Amino acid sequence: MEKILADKIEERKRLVSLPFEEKLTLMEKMRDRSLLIRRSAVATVSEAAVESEELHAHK
Amino acid sequence: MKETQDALAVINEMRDAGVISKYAIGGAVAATFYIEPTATFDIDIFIPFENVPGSSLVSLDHIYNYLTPLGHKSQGAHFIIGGWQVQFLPADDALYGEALSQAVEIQVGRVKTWVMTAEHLMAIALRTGRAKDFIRTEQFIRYNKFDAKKLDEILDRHGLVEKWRQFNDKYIRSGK
Repeated sequence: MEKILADKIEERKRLVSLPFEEKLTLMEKMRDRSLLIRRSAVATVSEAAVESEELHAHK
Repeated sequence: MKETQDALAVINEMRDAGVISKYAIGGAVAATFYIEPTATFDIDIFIPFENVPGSSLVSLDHIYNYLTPLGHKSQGAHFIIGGWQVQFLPADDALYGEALSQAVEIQVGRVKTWVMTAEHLMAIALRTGRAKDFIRTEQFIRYNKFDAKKLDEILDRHGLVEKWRQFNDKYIRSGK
């Protein structure tokens, strides 16, 4: 556990010391991933709503 | 990095065309210049308040009229530029105004741009006071990415000394 925490601290230090351009590339990737998750969540909710409506229509 | 560079190039073109005057990047993207990269959807662009003559509201008309014909869509309060949601915000008080006027010129690839100083970002975060702002402030401290004297002066000028003391008591000295 201590090793994991120490590695995490080192990784965060490494991220801080990266050139701004490299940090921006990481931010773009994080943004795209977050957008994908958000869209997927919205789509899932929408699909569930349609399914629910269809279910009620058939009742 | 290309998408950010493209977005900043468009913003610089707006500046060259007189659509906006001086600008400074604030928020998470500016903070990332100094500390760890974080996930965010938008780039906050602070512009002088006098860009909106005779109004206490921010008019985005001139920005809208410039960006829309170029194919940059608006989405709520944002414009989509280079894959980013770009938000134009007025530097509408003394702290934002000072942060804008003292912004640091940097280079992102081939593009010149301006980011707020670490000390101004800390002061703004302290004043805004959301959880993510405190995390950001703690990172500036942890990685020693600020000038303490400069920060003290800013906090004093903008009446944030007490908030700084409370922040230190709660999150730094207590070791939480």
